[in-house]
Amino acid sequence: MSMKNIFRSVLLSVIGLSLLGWVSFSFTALNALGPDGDSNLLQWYFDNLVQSEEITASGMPWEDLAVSLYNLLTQMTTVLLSISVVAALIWSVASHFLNIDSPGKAKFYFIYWLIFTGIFMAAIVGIVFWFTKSAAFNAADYLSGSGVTTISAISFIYYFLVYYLGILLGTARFARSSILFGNKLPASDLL
Amino acid sequence: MKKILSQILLILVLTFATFTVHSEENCVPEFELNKSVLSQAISKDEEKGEVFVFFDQSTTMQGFTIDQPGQNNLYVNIVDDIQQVAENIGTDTIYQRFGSEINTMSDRDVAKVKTPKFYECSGSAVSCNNQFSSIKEIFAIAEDVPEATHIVITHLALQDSQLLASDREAITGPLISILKQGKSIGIIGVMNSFNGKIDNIPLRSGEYTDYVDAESRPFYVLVIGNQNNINRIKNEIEEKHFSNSKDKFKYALITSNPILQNLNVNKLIEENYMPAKLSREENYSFNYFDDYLPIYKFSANKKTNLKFKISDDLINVPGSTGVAKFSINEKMWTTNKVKCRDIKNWNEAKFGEISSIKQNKNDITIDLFAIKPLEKLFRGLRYFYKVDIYAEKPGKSEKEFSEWSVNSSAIEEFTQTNPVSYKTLNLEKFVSVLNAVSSDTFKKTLIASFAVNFELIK
Repeated sequence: MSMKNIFRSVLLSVIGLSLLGWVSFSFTALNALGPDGDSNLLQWYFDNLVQSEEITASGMPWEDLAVSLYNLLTQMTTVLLSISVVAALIWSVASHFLNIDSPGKAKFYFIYWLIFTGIFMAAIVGIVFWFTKSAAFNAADYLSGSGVTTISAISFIYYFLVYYLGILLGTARFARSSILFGNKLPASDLL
Repeated sequence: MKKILSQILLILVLTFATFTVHSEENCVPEFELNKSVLSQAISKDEEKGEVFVFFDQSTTMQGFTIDQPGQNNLYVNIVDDIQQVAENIGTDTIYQRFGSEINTMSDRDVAKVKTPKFYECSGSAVSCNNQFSSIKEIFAIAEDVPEATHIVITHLALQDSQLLASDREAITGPLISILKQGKSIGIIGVMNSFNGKIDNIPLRSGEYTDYVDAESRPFYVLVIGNQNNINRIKNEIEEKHFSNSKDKFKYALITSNPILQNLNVNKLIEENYMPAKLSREENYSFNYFDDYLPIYKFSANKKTNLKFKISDDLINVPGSTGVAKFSINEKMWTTNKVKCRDIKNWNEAKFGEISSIKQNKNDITIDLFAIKPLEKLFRGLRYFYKVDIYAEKPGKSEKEFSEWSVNSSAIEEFTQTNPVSYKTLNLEKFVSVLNAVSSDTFKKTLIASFAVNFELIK
């Protein structure tokens, strides 16, 4: 094990994370800018994520209420992306420390990866729940049941993919068999 | 230097004062206050006028003047009390007797009212046996002289024909006019000893019969006039003769408006109309806006208990039929600016029904946000919710007298049971006629308005 290999893993993990992570980054930036009255995003939120009838009945202009929802989504996606990055990097670095001293032993660590990934996914669910269902954010009140389901499903799938691509490229070459489809990755100097 | 400093101080004070006033104005959305004129209507009632006292001279009334062994005779005393009160409450007292027709009484006749002689029939035997007291004529007089107080002392047994068709209209027509002029009708019932003949009891065959075995029977004092005089007469009788036992005394007040007052006009709405716990909520305050609308301001959470309770005593005219049905008119505004100074405009919400109103035995309770619960409102917003409470329908009082009433269809069987205490023919029907007119003339009345202004925080 050399530091060079670890840095290489980190770099590859960052590349893997970036493949899809830029979408989350852009989305966070877009939300951070706040609502724009003419934007399709604002309308999409109104049509798909929130209790549009209740909001209309409250008499409040949606654009005014949306400010806090944008804030919620900015913070939530920042936390979700951060935890995906941290989890992918932790696994990528940790994979170099796995005790794999014979062929086929890497597969034994699949269970380790599975538990680690399970914890990561549980964290994703917990974070989404905290933002959308707890009393932490007032804007959570605006979300409809289907809106929460949509946010949860997209977050669950999307951040898993971000994390997975991060660990797929970042896991130590000798430990790739410990992750799902890791052994399908072609062996080359670059990877 | 001192002058400059004092000028700066003055400017600062003025700026702060303007800012504070402006902030408070922003805390309330723009709306029209439905101010009630109810208290002014009541104050108009105070003028004195003539008093007409009508004595039912039908022969059956004689039974109230003759003592019955073992029974308490209050008729003489009550007639005496009424004469005294009548002399006090009016500018002039005019005594009249009525049977099939109405005649003015001489002073000598007035003195005789408490004796059996006054009720002796001087007409032919046929006319004396077919006496129907012409109560409709009294209502006609009351309509013609609405500013006067009219007191009627009668047994009030009315035949079916007196409560149907044109005879009924002869009662209801003037009654509508009387009630519309803000006057009321008090019915005071007294179960008294009776030693005489109850005549004109209708039989199924169409004939009439008599009954002489009754030892007690109610007589009635009808008072048509303003509520103060009616209450004065009622109190005089009740306090003097029935302070301990109420079972031989009944009273109902029929009025076009059984509402005592508007609670806002008299600024009677207090902090404790809401649960005491509310005053412990953050940022709590209680103030009257425009010297009329009480506003409870606080920070609420989704579990805050908001129940507004008003005692019936503050709403209903004492002894009146009260209110049978209440309604509320509610309006709500929202803003996402929590601090008053930041509020630029309020948005009117369209939540539909928000709260429910419940009438209990002694009070009415408005369960705020019972229909649109606070849990469904959005946190982080400020809400202004204004409620107007209206009386929709007056209550009814016929049940009060049902115990002493018997219908023409049941009076034959009732008489056959040889009752010691005799009931009044068609009393319940008569009271229900009065109630029906009172309901028709009743106008939806604003009783109270209040508002809650809160920020939903948790």
